[in-house]
Amino acid sequence: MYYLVIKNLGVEKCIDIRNEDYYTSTRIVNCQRSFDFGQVSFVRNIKIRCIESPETLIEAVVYTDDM
Amino acid sequence: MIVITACTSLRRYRSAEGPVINNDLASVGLFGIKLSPSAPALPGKSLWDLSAESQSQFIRILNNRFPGNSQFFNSLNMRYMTGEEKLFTDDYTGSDMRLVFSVVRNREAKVASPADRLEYLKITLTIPDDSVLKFTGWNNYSTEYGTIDIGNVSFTRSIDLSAAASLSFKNGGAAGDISSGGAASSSRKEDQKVGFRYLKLNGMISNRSISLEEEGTREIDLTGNISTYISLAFKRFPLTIAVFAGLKDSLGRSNEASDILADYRIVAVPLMKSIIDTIYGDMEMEYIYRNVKKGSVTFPEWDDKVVFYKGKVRSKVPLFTSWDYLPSFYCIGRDEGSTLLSSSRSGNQGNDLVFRSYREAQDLYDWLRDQVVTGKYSGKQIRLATSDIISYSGRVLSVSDFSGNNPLRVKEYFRREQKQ
Repeated sequence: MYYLVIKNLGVEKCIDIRNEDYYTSTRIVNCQRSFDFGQVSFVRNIKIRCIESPETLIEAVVYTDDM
Repeated sequence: MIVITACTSLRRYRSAEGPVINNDLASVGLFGIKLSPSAPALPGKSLWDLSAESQSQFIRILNNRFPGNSQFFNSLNMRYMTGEEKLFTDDYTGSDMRLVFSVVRNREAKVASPADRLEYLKITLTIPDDSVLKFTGWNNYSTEYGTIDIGNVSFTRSIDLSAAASLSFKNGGAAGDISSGGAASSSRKEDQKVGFRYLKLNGMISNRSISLEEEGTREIDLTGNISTYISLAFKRFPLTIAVFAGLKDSLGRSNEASDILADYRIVAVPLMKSIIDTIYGDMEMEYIYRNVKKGSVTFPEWDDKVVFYKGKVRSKVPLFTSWDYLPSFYCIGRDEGSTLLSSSRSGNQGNDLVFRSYREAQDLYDWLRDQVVTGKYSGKQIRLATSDIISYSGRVLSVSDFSGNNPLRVKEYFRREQKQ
């Protein structure tokens, strides 16, 4: 599974989960959801846009638990 | 003919040297910063938004309609055409600041004399390029000019006219001459004042910097305070806030889950990966210092022998601390671990429950603890009237969530110890 994680004002949360590595830069995502994620490993940094405020690019991290 | 009269001071100085570089003759400080979140304007119109004539007519109408004193006074504060009223501000990213720049001359400087003054100032406050802040507005859009009278100039014009005529005649034995003449003169005088316009206060603003400049004129020193109001904004990040209604009935008893309503509102909070303790800006002041080498005995400046010094001073100034920009939101979770109480609706993925106030979070926590610990909802799904399902880490709540070493509790959503 692949996890898309953002961090703002020190609060980290996973906003999307996919079976495949679906995440590319500038993708527009719903930033209000929150998924649990456990032990994961880093894949890459990307920048996304939130549906709620698409004018701003936000830094995000892609993780995976497929070891 | 031009006559210059009442010549007060057409000379700025007797002689001048410079500019010479010297950064020790003046300094600038930034103090008296007043910070307040940008408040939304009150909706609608009131009596005090009308013109003077309309106000007096409206007051007469209100006086006729509300003869009682307290009713009449209350009616003066009513607001009209308000539309849908907002309870809260939804934007936590804007702030209004009052900046007071304090400019001080170094009177202990070696070259200082009693007649010295600061001739020109330019103060710039810059936010670093990688900062998440930007300037969005201020109250210095118009340039202020000052004028001084330098002298009076008179123009005089006079016209002199003269005419002469003569006539000679001969008639038989008689002969003679007739002559006549005349003169007239006209003059016109015009007085003009000669003035000089100088820059009293000028400002420039961009997303990353504000700049104020002042020009001094004779006998006016620029030492002192300059006050300006500015607005700043952070980049925006969306966050969902929950509002619960109907947790208790009118007698203070806990309602059933099916009576409780949940609503969600998206607000804007500052976009910043980690909480920064203090956000700094760079302040710079350029100045021209008019030093009177000779002639300080007299007040008029036209007899001064002056040296112009040019200087620049820089410093880092604090603009915001985390206490100023961090919204106080609350959530329900454990001390150890980052998982929070969440809600989901109609099969969609849940949102973490975040509240605007400690009271709102505590009210929900108290209701949940009562319902779960008494066994009513322990191990059972809690579904609200709005079809929201309350859960923790994807499962239903149980008694163990409210007891033990690490129980659920109300805590701050943004925690200052989570800093870079």
